Amino acid sequence: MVTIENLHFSYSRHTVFNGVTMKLEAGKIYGLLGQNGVGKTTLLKIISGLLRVKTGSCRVMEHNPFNREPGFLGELYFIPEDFTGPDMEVNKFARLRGEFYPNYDENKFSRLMTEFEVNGNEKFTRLSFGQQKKAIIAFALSTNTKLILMDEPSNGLDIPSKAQLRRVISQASSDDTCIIISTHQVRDLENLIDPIIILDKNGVLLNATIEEISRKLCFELSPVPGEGAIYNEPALGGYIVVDRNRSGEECKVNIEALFNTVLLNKKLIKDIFNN
Amino acid sequence: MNEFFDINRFFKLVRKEYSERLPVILKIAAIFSLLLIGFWVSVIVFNGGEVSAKARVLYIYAATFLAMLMAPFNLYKSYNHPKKGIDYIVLPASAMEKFLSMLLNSVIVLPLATFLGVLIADTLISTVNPSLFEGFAIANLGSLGVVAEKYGEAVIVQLGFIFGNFLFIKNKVFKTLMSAAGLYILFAMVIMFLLTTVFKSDFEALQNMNTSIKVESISELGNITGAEGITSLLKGFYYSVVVIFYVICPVAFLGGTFYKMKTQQY
Repeated sequence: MVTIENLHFSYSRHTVFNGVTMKLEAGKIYGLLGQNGVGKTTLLKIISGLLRVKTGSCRVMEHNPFNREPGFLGELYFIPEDFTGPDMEVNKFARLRGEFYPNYDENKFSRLMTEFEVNGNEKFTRLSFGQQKKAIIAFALSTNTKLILMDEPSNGLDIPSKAQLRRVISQASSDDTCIIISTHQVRDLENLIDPIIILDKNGVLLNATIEEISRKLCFELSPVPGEGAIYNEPALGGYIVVDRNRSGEECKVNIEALFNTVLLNKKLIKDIFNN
Repeated sequence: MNEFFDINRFFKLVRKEYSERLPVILKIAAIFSLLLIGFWVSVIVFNGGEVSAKARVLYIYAATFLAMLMAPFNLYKSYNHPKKGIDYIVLPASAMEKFLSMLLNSVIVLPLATFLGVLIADTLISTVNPSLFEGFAIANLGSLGVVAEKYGEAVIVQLGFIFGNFLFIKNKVFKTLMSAAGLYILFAMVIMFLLTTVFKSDFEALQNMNTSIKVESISELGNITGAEGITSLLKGFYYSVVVIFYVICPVAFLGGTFYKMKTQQY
């Protein structure tokens, strides 16, 4: 679906990517994690053709995304972090744009709008930021495009809406679709995103499935810090201890602890996952 | 699927664009129409004299021209906005289709709506109050050929403003006006340089001639005959101006706008 090879990208003198290589496949919901400013949004913009690759290559569904061909754009939907809708009714917005997407499903849009509890007869300008975001997510999922890119989709959503978001995204996922979700609020999307990609300045620290992570790392709640563990984090009732999985038994991945572990042990994590 | 231009997709885009931008188009047309109505009311209130049809025709053309200059900044202001422009750029239509639909709305739909709006307002006022608005502007618009020529020239100027709208991201109107002024000054300096330095002797000879040449518009330069050396110089100057204004400028503005639409990064 997405093939990125030796990607270099910079904004004037600020280097964002320095030789990034990765492959993203259909049938998965990728979680793109990273600290602020590491290039999560930049990567999504490159994939959606909003930014031009200077060195290296990015191919999306066999297209050069920056050519922005209609056939390519009809199979991709990008939801920016701070979407602000036009001064127009949501239903009208969806009807006018839906015509351009070959697999747009108006019934699905209505169903998702009902599920999100957003009134489609209202103008975007009369909706709250969170409601606008839910409306655009409902539209994006209704286009049934093969690739959906979401930049911080849970930002601005209340707690029930976050649960609704997880539910509708998991329902929208199929063997033909690839969803890439950039977030730094990992708890919002836990149990949804798989594989996990963790970006660092200049590159990819981790690109692994939950199954692979749980095979190689073990996450436990322990009353005391784990001796010799890769990472210990104080938590309610003790410590979250992250260590190598020596037992071979799969354990539940704590994405927030994983994220912190990876950031503090970059070289070690690369060694563990590259072997 | 034709990735460069598809007529069905283009019509879908035109319908979408028209549907979304109609309120702005009507608002601008209404503003210029209301200005005329406001003027009429003020003439009544302050006991002003009658307003000739020719003066109102002038207003109609001026309003249409202003609407043309305002069109890109009102209808497509956010196209290259780093956040607001994303919605339009990821819409599955080609850059050519977006470019043509933008031209359609800016060059034809908005000016036509303004022209018709003001013309209808004038016709209504002239019917209701013929003593103040004497005659009908619609009957004094001029020949179709003249209107077409003036409209063509207005479109060329407008294309410069359209290019400015896509070239600049912030303070678009100010920067476009400043650029237009800068280009005008540059052009004037080039002309002055040619007159005072390159063709100095020819123009000194022209000054010393007993014959006087009265030129009321630049297009008349092309009609000058006699005094072979000097007329060829003036004609050369005229043709250069014509080529720059009627060919180079529109091609550069259109090409530049399309290039910016195709390669804009967000």
